[in-house]
Amino acid sequence: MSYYAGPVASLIEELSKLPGVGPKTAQRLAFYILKASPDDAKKLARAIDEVKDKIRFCDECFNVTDAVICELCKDPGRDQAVICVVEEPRDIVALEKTGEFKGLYHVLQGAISPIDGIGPDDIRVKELLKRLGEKKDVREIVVATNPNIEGEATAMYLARLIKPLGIKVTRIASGLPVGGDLEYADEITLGRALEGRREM
Amino acid sequence: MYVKELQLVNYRNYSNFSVTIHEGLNFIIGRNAAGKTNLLEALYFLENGKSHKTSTARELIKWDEEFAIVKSTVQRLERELLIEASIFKDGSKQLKVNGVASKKEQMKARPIITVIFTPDHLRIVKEMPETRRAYLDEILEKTGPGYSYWRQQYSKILKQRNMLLKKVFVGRMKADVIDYWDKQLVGAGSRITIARRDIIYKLEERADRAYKNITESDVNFSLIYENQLLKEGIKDGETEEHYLSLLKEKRKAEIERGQTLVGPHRDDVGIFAAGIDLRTFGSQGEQRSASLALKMAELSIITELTRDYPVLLLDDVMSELDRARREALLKYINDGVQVIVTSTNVEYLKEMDIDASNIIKIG
Repeated sequence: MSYYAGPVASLIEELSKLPGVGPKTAQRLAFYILKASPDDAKKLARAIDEVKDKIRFCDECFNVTDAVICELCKDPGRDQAVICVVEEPRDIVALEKTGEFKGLYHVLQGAISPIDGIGPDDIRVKELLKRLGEKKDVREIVVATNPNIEGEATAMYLARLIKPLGIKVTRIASGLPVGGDLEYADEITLGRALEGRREM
Repeated sequence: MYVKELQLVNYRNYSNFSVTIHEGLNFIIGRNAAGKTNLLEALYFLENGKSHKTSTARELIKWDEEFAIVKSTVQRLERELLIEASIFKDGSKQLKVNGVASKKEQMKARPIITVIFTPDHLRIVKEMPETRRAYLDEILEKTGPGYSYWRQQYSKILKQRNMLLKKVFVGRMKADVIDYWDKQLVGAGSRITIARRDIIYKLEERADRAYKNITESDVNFSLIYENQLLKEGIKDGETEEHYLSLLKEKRKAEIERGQTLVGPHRDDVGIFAAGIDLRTFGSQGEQRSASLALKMAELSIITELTRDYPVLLLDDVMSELDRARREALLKYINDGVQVIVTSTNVEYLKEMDIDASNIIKIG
């Protein structure tokens, strides 16, 4: 049995579905909204409504956008011959902040993870292959999935799929943080850095 | 190294308790449930960031309190370390050594090194293979962060791969996806296997010496690493490739059973005395002597690998051993090793020549 009137109980229930929000936090948030001015509460409701209404995935790269094709894909100044494959839209933000990458992106919207029931068909791999079939000028695919076991499995899967198309597949390096001293690096990171060493 | 002081705040049954511990042999005496083991557990916690008895950090905090603190002054070679670990109700932990907070919240710094010996360890030889794998892993994890990392990776990959096999069996996923997990599995699995082989080789010689001492005999004691990956004529560098080919052979059976059938998660250690497999054919006494010999070998190897004597924690094992084994154990321990023994039984202490200041009474 619920201690709260119907609308409050359902607000708490909906809020507790958010990641990182348990029943207690949901309760706190619900009462905050209850106390807020009607204006503020409506603004929040509208923002949620709008994000679902207007925001969609880019038809090309599956980044989040409010247009059919996102700003990055539309930009003629970007190198059309290189596509960087990432797991989530927020990874694009991280890469863009570096200012080092001038090519296009492709968002997989996940990584292969049998425990979570995610296989290759559940992420945007088919769409990437279709894109490569249509755009004949792609020379290189940079795989920037996370350096954990799921990201590595996904990277290996992509490499085996794309290499036969005659396109170069590269993987971002992992290793030492910039500005760090060797002696402070843990042996796992240092081992990885050694594995990925290159000729000078 | 040796522990000079130990202070517990809100830890288990202690509100605020401190004790001075001496070099050499120390006894903690008290009735059952007085909190003797909690003192050893606290030292184990400083090293491992976890308890040897429970996986929930919350249990370590005194009932109704928000946090617990374990503080200890430890002499490590020429340096004196003040180690302070805090445990919070939400499960987070923090470790400070001489006032400097450790960067890693998982507490992998190991400011102190211990070897713990509980009555469970007397069953290493008798119990299931996982007990023997845990014995090897505990030693290897003290030798550096590399082994722990690969073991964690391996168990994560194994979980994903087993789930995948089950899904392939019911037709939910395609079999070729297994390949992408295999490459990672063999990377981590081969490293674990090679590390275990090397440590068993080093343990055998020491355990043999200890076994002869304990049993006062010249019976040959040997350890055989039972694993699927290593094979005569295959070099270490070729292990991964060999592992892959074994996985290929077993692929069909693996899908049918929904389980990874090849790898170090199926390892065991054969323990032999005079050519007899003690795991199945050893008497209770032989199994105990062998377990004791393995723990003594561990102490010796950790001393060598860390270039310092670890602190030996003997939790309630003395009363489980008969007089001959007890004496053999104490005789084997080098004078430089600090030993902290918990016991309810004070009878056998009378037979020994121990300074009163080295006996701590609790409860």
